[in-house]
Amino acid sequence: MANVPRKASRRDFLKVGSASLIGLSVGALFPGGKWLDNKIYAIPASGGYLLVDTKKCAGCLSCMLACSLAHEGKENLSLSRIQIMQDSFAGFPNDITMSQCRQCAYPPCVEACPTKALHADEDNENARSVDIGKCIGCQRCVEACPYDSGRVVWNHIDKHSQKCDLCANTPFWEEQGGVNGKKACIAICPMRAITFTNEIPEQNDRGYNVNLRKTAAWKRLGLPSN
Amino acid sequence: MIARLFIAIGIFIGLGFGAYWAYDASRLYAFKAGYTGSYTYNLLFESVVWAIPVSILLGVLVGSFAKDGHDTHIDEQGKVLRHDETMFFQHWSHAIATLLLIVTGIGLGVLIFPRFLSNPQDVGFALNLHFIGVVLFLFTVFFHVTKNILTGEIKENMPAAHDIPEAIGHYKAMLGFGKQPEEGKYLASERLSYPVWGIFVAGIILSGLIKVSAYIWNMPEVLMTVATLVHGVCTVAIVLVLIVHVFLGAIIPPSWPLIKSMITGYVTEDYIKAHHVKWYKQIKGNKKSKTAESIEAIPNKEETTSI
Repeated sequence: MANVPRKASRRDFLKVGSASLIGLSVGALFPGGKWLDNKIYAIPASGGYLLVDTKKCAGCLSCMLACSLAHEGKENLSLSRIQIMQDSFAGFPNDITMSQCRQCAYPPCVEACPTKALHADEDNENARSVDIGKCIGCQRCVEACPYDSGRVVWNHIDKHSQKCDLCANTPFWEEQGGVNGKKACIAICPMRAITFTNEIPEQNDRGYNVNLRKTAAWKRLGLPSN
Repeated sequence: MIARLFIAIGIFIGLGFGAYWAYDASRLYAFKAGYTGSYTYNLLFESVVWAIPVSILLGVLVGSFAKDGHDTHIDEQGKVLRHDETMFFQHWSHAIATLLLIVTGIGLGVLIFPRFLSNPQDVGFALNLHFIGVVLFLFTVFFHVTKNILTGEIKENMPAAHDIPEAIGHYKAMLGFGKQPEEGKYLASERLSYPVWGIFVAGIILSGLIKVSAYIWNMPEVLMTVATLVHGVCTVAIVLVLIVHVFLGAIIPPSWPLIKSMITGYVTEDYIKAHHVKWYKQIKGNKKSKTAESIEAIPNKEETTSI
């Protein structure tokens, strides 16, 4: 059998070939991530911060249940964005750790996110929040959070990252949340061990774990306030 | 056969290199200075995203060099070349890319199927392996499409109206009812399945490209959700079509000569005499069969490219 002439002419080949070469050259210069919105490089500070007092916390986990219930409609400790950890073998005040999101001034979770799903939410005074629809589930934010336990939580049911948005998106709670609204954990805490501030705290443990015991009620009970 | 061995070794070396790259990139490293305990991994989809358009363009470029494999004749040992080296490379590299994408894709969770991986390092490895699969997959798909369009082979792959009764007759004959219809080089059922593959592959590529563009641009949440859904649906469809393809193309006994030729390249004269009568007649240059085909209104272009 003889070879059949090609359907494409040499001219076609040259056109495709040169177009591909030009494309390759442009492709090689394609700057990965460079065309992202410049805002990602200068993350504005959050308008609000949760502060806690571990010496006041009784470890009832009400805040965790309220967080999960308000956001997910389920009382599931694994879905809570605030985590309370207790160590029975450690003495007071190291027996309780309250892991609330610090809304870091320089948030590694936001910087680690490759798709801008984790972002400073302009509609909520730049609280660091997750756009669930954009989350690809790479978990880089979970690993990037330097604190133990991580403040970015993996939603094992819906398969995406989630974190404290200061109750901006609470479909199962009737109250208006967000930086300027109510927060479920603060509202539920029977010990008043969680509070809120608009001022950027000192960026360390001392800045976020504060003394909330300087109240008259606390003194009346005869408990130490220092 | 030596050329095929080299192609196979080349594919596996490339795959091994890619797998190591994916593994190396998924190892955690200290992310933020001053933040003890802040780690991340290198996500190739983000850091090497340019390789995606490059793989498409490279596929088009190499595809435009590829020749059609139609210098068909029966050799002295009664063997006929059915799958040339280009086809060997194209089929197996595409198969490996598809398998890699399916395995990593399912590992990461698809639609209602849960994610098998839990810690970020494993997720990173799967995502990076998925990236290697994407680069190979896009290259092979665009190589195939470019080659088939430029050589005109695409016309042999696309179905015609008469393929439906032919395919039904083929399967009836397989089950022992009726006579095997006269088939060309490609079976009518193969031609019918071609656009099915095409639709799902196009769907998965388009939705995948939208997902990839999220690493470059700030994509709308709704578009990402729709692309993710389409990507998942196409994944499940491709897995199902692949199962049927492997079953009909490699498991059932009548297909054994074809899976063998997909490796060695050759089928026997007896085999094509029995199963690809039209093709056999074409190879033999039987004028009578050509006349018969023109009566059956087979397009002339197919005739010329198949010979």
